[in-house]
Amino acid sequence: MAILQVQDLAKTYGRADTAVTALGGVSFSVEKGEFVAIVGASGSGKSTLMHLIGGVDRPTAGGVVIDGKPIFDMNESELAIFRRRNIGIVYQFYNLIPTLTAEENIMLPHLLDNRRPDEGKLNDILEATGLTSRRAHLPHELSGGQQQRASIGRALINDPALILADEPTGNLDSKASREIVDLLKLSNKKYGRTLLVITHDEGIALQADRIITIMDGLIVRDEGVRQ
Amino acid sequence: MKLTARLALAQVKAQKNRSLMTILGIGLSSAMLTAVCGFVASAKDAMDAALGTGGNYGVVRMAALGIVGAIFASIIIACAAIVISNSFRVSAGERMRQFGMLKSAGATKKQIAASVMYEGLFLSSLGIPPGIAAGLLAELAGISVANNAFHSLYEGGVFVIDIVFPFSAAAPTFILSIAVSFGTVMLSAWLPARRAAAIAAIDAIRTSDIAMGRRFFPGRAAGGHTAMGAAPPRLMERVFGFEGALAAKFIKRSRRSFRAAVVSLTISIVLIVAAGSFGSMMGELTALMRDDAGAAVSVRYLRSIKVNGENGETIQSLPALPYALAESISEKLREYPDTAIYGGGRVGEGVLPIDESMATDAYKDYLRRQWQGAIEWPDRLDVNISTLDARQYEQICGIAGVPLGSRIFVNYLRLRTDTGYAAAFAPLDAPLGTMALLDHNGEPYSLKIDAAISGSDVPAWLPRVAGYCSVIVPETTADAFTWLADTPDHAGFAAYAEQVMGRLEPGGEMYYGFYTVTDWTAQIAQQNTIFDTIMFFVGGFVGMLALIAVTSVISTVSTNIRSRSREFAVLQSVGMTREGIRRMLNLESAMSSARSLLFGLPIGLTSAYGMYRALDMMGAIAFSVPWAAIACCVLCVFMITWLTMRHTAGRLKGMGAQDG
Repeated sequence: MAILQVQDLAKTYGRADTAVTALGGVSFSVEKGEFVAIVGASGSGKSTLMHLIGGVDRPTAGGVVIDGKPIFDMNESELAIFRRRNIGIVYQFYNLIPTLTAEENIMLPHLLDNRRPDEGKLNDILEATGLTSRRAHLPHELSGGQQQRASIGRALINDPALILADEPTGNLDSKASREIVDLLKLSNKKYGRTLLVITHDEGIALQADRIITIMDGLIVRDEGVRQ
Repeated sequence: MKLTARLALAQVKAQKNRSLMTILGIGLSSAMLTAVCGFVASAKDAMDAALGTGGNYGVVRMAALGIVGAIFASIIIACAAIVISNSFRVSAGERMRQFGMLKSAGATKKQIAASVMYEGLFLSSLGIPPGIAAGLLAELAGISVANNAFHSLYEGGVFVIDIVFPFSAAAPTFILSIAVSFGTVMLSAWLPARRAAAIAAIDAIRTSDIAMGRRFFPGRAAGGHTAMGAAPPRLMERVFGFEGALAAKFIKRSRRSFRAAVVSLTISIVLIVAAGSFGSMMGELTALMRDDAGAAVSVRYLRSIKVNGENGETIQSLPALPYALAESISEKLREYPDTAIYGGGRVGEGVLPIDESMATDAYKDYLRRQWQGAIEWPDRLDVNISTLDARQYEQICGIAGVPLGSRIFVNYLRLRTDTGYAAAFAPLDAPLGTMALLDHNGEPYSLKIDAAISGSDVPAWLPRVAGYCSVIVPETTADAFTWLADTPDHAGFAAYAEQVMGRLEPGGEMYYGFYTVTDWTAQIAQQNTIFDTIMFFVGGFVGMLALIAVTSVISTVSTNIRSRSREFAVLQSVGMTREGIRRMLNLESAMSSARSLLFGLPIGLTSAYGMYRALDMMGAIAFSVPWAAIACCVLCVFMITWLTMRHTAGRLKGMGAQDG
């Protein structure tokens, strides 16, 4: 069953002579529980694709269906709430709220819903991310790897249908990168989350079930990985 | 606490200095609004107590007071909204990245807007209560000043009722003050909140990156152009070197950031210049009154005439004051010890048509200035027909060198043009012989003139009892008579004059008309009391508004400096000395101050001139530029900007290039 369907998705910035096509109409689908890596050179359109799938940007043409729901048919508030409950996003620069503790950052989607997550589940995620002892620390008191683990925890807390990660190890050293990849894989295997990771790192891409290669805003290759 | 509220509180705590300045601005505006509400309520209570609440007058008074209060409140709200809104705009700008993160995590527009509004709520809860307390103190001080002034005016006989303003701290006043203050803050936060909420998640993330990049590296932006998209300002570079060019670029780039500070400073400058001009005009009017007095006490008599209001016909006309009676009053008044009396009466008036050959050059010069070009001949000169008491008439005949019984023309005029040119001169070239006049119906009649006096021959008291351009005729009855008394005992003489003139009262033994006794010293003291009271309120109002503007300047300048710490580090890393950075900041502060002054001073002077034209009806005063207020504005604006920049930059001193 396809959890994600991307249909002729296109995005153009600017108009007329200054128009730049970031994404030229791409289509693919991702099955539930699949781990997909999206690779491509800088400026190829990977991040644009992720922003569109995450619903933080709107396309020029085409659509995205997540768990059977066409997300661009929703208004902005509906989309925000849908994103909160169904999509987890992990950024290269963590994007944690500096004034909230690690635990609160993980709970962010719940806090936006004005509810507390199940304590057992929170502890489970804190343990999985290795942040149990650092739960009360502010982001600037954490290492880069710990901050990224907190952002992955935030992506997991709501049992989202889809986790999107944009260069999740791009800002980390090799040890921290390995930990993050392990954590992402854990979320995929243990929690059964569907994972879409944008990466430059061939090592990470090769751990995915499938690699989609983008060049100049178009999919040039979509192939499974023999594990 | 809700997440959005917690994030707002964290922002308030993180930006302590700006929050403090915003709280101060909110507090000051709340204080002013509370004071205005309190004054209106107090004035209503005072008037109700003094005049009663019967009929529709109570409603009319309330409406009138309400309108005055609303005008002042509107000015306060406008200034406060500009300043406070800027603070929220800056804060929302700083939180843009946070909003992007929240949006990508699923925050709705409403939640983002709520987070900004919560900031308003927290700052209000910190600023409004002390503001209300300060407002009550200001009300108490204002009421105390007003009560003292009104009481002294009552004691001086200016007011017939002793109006007492009660201190009003009633619940409706409180509720209104809090509601208006809170409404002002929330209104100020609403626009930045709406803008922050409207920005798309992707833009919030991207914008913050770009904005931060631009803020940190102002000379570079996408495409290799300068951030301002223009060549460095060459003049500044030539005069002040590279630092001058950088400072000019920064000022140009930061126009939007500095807008609120410039606008609020401009408003303050306008108000200070206008208030300064108002003060000097009031001072001149008071001085004019002092000049006009000439003597300490004046006694005036006016013949009683009853006129039919419908057709203007005289119903009852009591006879004019017989000369013998006027003379006896003069002598009676002279009996007061150490007192000189100058008496003169108005007999009638006429118009003298004059052509070019009759006018002196000084008069022609005046007319040219007044008409601003060609003079229309014949001109019409107003001439007073006056009489003097015997002693003064004798003196004038002596000055003119003519025997008693002569008619003497006082060839002396003091006038001013609409543009403020004032001069005293002899208007007629050769006034002797027969003077052909027109009466008030336009009928011609003539007067034979035996002698004329002008210039220094004219005693100071003469125009004040006989008028300018007057023909002094020998003893005759007068419609109006004035006695000027030069006496060391003003109050005693005034009481004595009341007794002397009391005989002319209705029902008195010799009723001819009405009289007034004016103690000019007391009058001037009362005038000064009114002047001081008005200036207390004007000064307080303008001063507090200026303080609100100062909070905006401090907040804007310090935020700007702090946000550029990386820029300074980069500049230092490429070899700019600390002295160079200080020089650049000094130039920036000078330029941003100059901008406020550039807008504020012309508008302030225009307002001052407009006010002068309106007040000019009250007396013949010339417009003068309020140099003291201008100097105060220039000095304060430069000092406040410079000191804030210096202080904030000083706190960044420790940052080296590697920290950036």
